[in-house]
Amino acid sequence: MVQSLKTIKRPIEIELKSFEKRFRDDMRSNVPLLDKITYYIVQRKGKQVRPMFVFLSAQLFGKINDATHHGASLVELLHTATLVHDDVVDDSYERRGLFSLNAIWKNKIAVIVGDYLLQKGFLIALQNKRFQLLEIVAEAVKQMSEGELLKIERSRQYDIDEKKYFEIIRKKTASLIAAACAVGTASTSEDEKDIEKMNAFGEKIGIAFQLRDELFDFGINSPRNPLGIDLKEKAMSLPFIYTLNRVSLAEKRKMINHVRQGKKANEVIALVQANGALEYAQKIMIQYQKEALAILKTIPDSKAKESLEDLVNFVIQRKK
Amino acid sequence: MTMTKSLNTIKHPIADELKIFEKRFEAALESEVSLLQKINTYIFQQKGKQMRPMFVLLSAQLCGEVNEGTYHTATFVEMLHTATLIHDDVVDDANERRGVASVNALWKNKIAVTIGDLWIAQSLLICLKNKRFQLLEIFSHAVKEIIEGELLQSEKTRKLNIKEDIYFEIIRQKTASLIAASCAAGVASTTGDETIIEKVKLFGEKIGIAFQIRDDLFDFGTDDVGKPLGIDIKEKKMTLPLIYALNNASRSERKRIINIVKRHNDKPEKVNEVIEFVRASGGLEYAEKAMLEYRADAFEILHTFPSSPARESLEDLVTFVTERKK
Repeated sequence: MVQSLKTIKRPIEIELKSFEKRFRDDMRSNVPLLDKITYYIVQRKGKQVRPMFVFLSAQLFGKINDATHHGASLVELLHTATLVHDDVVDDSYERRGLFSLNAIWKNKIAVIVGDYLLQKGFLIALQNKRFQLLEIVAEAVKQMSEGELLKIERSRQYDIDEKKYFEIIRKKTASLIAAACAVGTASTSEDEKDIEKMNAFGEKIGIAFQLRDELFDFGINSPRNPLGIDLKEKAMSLPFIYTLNRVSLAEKRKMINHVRQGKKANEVIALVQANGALEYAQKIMIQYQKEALAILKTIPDSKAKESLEDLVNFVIQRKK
Repeated sequence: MTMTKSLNTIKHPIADELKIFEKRFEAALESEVSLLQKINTYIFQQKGKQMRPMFVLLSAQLCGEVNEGTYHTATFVEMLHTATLIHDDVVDDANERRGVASVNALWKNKIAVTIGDLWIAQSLLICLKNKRFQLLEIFSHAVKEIIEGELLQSEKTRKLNIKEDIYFEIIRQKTASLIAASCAAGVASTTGDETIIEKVKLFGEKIGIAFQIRDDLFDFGTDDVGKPLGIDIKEKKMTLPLIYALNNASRSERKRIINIVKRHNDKPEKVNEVIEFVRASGGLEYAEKAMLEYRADAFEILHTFPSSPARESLEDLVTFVTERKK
């Protein structure tokens, strides 16, 4: 049975509440313009999935403490910073329903604000001497940037193998969730093995999360209309890549052409379906889910562990 | 007036160290991602004046021998500074940097912002992996100031109602704090004496402010060489000569000039009007005098150290910074 997010959050309810307040304080500054902007950012906060991973991972090994809170702030600030920077460069006009920063304040300010949040996260870690946490998260930022560049480099060619694909999503998408789990663990455990283990757990669940998202885009278990989603987005997905590497050369050329011209999405989707690529991606996703759960099995039982198991299942079975 | 030595002469006592630094710097950014490697190589070729690594190395030599900690400091500061420039070019929509195409001009904004983020993360990792925690503490303060200075500037520039004390606050935060931290962290790699570290930091701040005023003066072409004139006006950046001139003008004159900066900053003949106005008001002489005061303060701090080749080079560097032609 899939538990609701509310049930999953129960063991860390109080901590998440106090985190929300802390996070708001973290973003505060004495520059009125900046305060106006961060107000917008806090307003449009999403589900806070990453702080959940931080707090639950921490609780697996001990009691949530100041370091856990600093870790959560750090992860969330960097996550927000990258979102803001994404807005700038992609020229996207909407994110989570509210106007994106650049629509209101223009690119200029958004680069600065993204940098501010990035530096602010680093500052919180430095001022509290959380060097280990900072190293974990700085490594994640490096990986995310590398993943982004790899993706740009590869997507120009519309031709990548599965190995490259996994490298890209491991770096671009999974590394921050991995860092969230590692940071939480490092706040309550000194055992390097625990930290590594939870880093691997986060990575697996991050990859599964990405695969779930891709399957949504092809209309699997989803109210989303697969025809409504940009073909170019689909071109970097596992189902697309799997298909591309299985069809005839002529069909491959046709698929790439359709993507380039942004036309005939239905033909592309039909090819993906006919080649069993969606079943394949689902199989891989479930494999990652199982691997994530197997890691949790090596850790003593607790309420936090139960919640993390539920969170893993939630990620796979969610409907949006 | 002191004789200005060339940058190469000033670099002489640290020539070997600068070479080692350059190698470390490039090695620190090696990547398997070919696009990244390509852009990094491009950026290395455009290496600037290396002013900050010079301040780090020379400050270190004030109190001892350049060591691993000094190199980590120099690498960290140059990487962070370059990342800032890459982002600045996106912010300012600038197509040129150091006479060649900027990263955003060649590879677009998205890539430029991402590269900057990556360099910032990498600079931190160098300190963290080598456990240079004191270095990080010195710079964490500077980084906070840089960002707040940038925001303060964005806000004030929109209104153009800037006063001299705000101007000095902005440039102290934006420009001087990184040079101050470079000097402080440099000397901290060879001494544990807090008093000395503080003193060298203050030296860096003074020279950082002088550096910025020199930059401001270029916009009005006192030397008829170097940068094209009026760039700051076009970008609505408030400079000391302009601020002085505005604060000493009649109300109607002030209104007229502010109106040009706000609404007609894309018209060369209008920008020239502003330049003429600043020249006529004595704004250049005023800014020059302020710069020399900061320079005198910087010299005074240096003179509390015993004479040495490093001290002499720092003195020359101070002179160079305030008399440079570009």
